[in-house]
Amino acid sequence: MANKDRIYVSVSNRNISDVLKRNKVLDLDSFDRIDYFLLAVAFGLNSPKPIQHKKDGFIRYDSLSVEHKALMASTLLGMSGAGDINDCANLDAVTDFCEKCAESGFPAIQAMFNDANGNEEVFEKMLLNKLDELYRMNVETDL
Amino acid sequence: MSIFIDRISFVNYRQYGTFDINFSNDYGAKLSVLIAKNGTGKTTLLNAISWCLYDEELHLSDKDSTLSILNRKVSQDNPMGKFFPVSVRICLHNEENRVEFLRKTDALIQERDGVRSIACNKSQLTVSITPLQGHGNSRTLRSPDADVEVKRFFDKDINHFYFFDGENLEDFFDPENAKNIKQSIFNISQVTLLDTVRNHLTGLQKDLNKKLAETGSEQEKETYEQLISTKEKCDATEKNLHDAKNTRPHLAKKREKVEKQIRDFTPANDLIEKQRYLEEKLKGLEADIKAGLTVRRTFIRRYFILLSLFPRIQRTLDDIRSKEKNGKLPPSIDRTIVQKLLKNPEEPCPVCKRHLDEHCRKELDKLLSHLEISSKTSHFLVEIKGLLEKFVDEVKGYKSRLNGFEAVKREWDQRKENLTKELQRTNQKLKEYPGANGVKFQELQNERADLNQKINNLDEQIGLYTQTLEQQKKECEHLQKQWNSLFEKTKGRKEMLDQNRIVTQLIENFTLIQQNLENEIKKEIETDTWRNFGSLNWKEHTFNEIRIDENYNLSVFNSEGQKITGSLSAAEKMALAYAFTLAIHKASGKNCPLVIDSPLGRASDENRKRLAQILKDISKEKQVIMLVTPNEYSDEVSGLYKGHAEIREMGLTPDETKIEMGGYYG
Amino acid sequence: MPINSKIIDQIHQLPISDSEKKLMTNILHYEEEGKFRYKTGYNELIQKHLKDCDTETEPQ
Repeated sequence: MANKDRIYVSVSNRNISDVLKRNKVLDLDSFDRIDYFLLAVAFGLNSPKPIQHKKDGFIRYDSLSVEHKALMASTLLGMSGAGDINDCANLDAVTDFCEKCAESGFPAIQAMFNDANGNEEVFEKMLLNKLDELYRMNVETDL
Repeated sequence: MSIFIDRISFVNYRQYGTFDINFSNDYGAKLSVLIAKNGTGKTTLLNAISWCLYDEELHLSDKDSTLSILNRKVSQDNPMGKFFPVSVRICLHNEENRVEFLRKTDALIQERDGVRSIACNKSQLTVSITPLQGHGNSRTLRSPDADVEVKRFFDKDINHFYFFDGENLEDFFDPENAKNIKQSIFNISQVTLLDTVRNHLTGLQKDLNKKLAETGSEQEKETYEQLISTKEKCDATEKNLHDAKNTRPHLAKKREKVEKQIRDFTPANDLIEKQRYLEEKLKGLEADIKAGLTVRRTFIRRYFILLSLFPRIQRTLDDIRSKEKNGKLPPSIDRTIVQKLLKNPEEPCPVCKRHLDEHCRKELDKLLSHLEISSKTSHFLVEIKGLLEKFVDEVKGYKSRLNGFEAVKREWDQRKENLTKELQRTNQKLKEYPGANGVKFQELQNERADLNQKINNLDEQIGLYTQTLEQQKKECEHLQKQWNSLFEKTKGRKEMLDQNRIVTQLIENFTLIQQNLENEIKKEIETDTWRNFGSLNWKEHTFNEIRIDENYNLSVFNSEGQKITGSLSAAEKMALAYAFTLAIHKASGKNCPLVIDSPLGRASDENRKRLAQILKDISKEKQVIMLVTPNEYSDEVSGLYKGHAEIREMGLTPDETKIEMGGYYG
Repeated sequence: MPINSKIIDQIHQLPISDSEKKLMTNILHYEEEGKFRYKTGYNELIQKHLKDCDTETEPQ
């Protein structure tokens, strides 16, 4: 497999991210692409799917910080039954997996925003409720 | 040219009836004082003069405008159906001629719906000019030549600088009047003539350029068309800029008036202060809330990622810790090296330099099965371990951070609600505040806000037009140069080219002269007004400068450089009006008389005496006719004028239908 | 009516030839008389000026 030098997204998801950025949803316009890529990964974490159609280069590897790599790596390393640890720590493998998560993650963000009728305040309220739910499911039971 | 009014004669005109007022300069000073109580006819004299010269009584009050100009006694004592002549004649002289301005009309007494009324036919103006020295013939002029002669002596546009109403000084500094002053001064000093010459030359240049372009190459035609189009755009922008600049002083004056009304609302000042304070507080709070929202959104974004990934973060961290505990992390030997050795048996061992035998290969295989993690992976896992621990700590802090946000939000919401309610209460009180002349305070504030907006918009427009004009002028210059260089290369059209060159040069020269002249005139008027004002007012340190802007609006500045025209006292305004008047007279090149109604009414005590002295000094050089009330003509003023002025009393007949002149003394 | 002496002074101060100054003064006088067809008058004055200039520069 040829080495990658960037993270890809499908063209349709790129359009979604542009729209979200233009509408300044969650102040996304003032942050880097990696930030809302990670958000999309979080949204689609449990339903990864391969990029179906034409894809676009989205984020170059050399713009990734160690923190970004840590978060992305944990998505694969922390998956039960992930396989060989050396394969899972490989950046290309990690970004491949995250691309699949983001592939379903971007549409999920858009769907939620549409459910809020494009209302920023309502959208944020929905996200806060979701946060509480995630905390209960993922953290409280663990702790 | 010095002008002296010798006599004003009335026939059947208002309360003057048939009457003559003669003026003489037997007392050294050309000063005449007519003393009359209010309602006698002082302002009517100003109206008589303006009716004679301009066919318009410019100082009528609402009450007067309903009365006919035919004398009341004549109209009452005579039968209906009869015509009576009404006229006013002004006789004056200068160094060269004796001039008479006579306006006449015929008034018909009639009855309409049982009520006596007067109808006048259109008045006629006649001007008679008789040379004093006996050289040349007398001339009699009728309209329109008569009107031209009036304009030469007493241009209507600046008539209030000759026939002065001391009670209506606010109009004196009206931007509308300033426009008229500028026009009049430009007419008198022939700046208008220069402008006309420039416009005519520009028209000539257009024709020449058109002819040149029509007989020229395609490139010349194109350049010419571009040049014309750009010049037209330039003219349009210049006009817009000019209009905008002319509009601004009017709006500023309106705003000044409204602000004065608001300032006069002393009892409401506390409420206004409170309103401003609350508005500022609210604005600051809204900025804080906005900043807070940004922080909240960052929180939501961050925690969505962390909370979603938390189980995997925790598992990865646990895995790393477990491998560390079991000695697998970091590995003692690099797995990659062992793998490489096994893959390439022909290569010697990098440690002992010997080739691997079967036994060694088996041992290495066994070793590989124990070496789970490569160095590269190990290095990566060690690197991210610290970050994963940080993520876990962050997640643990989620609840307390969220509670913190909510607490702050609740506090802000409460504060906003309180401030908004307080502001609403204050606004309500201000809205219902009773105002002067029945105008509610809130309306004044709305009007001020509206005017502020309009002035801001206008300032933006002026800025934009100025910028655009600069660019367009540069473009014009560039195209003009292109055009010039194009047809300079053309042979066979020498005559047209020479003409064009001359015309272009003439336009440039006349433009320069016009600009210089305009600046010179404005500077002279400014300097003269400042000098006159200095001698007319009594404060030595308060005033620093008088400026006249390009629209001939007058402004006074104090020693701190602040504009204080609007804050002048009534007496100071009068002094300024006189100062400006004298400067305008000088700029007009004519020494015209001053007829002033209530010249001392706004001043008191020392100031009145001072003003009276000043008018006396002025009358050494020009004729001054003062129309004063007995109150104005105090003992001090009387003492000052005795022996130096022609002083008469005017009163009404017992039936109040006619003026009679009383004591004549000097 | 005479031309404002300030204008005449300004013309005299311009760095142009005497004949150009004369042309400017003539145009002002012409305009002051208030003729209706200014183009004809202006053109005549300019043509005369050009002719005088040519006469001046003609070799003797």
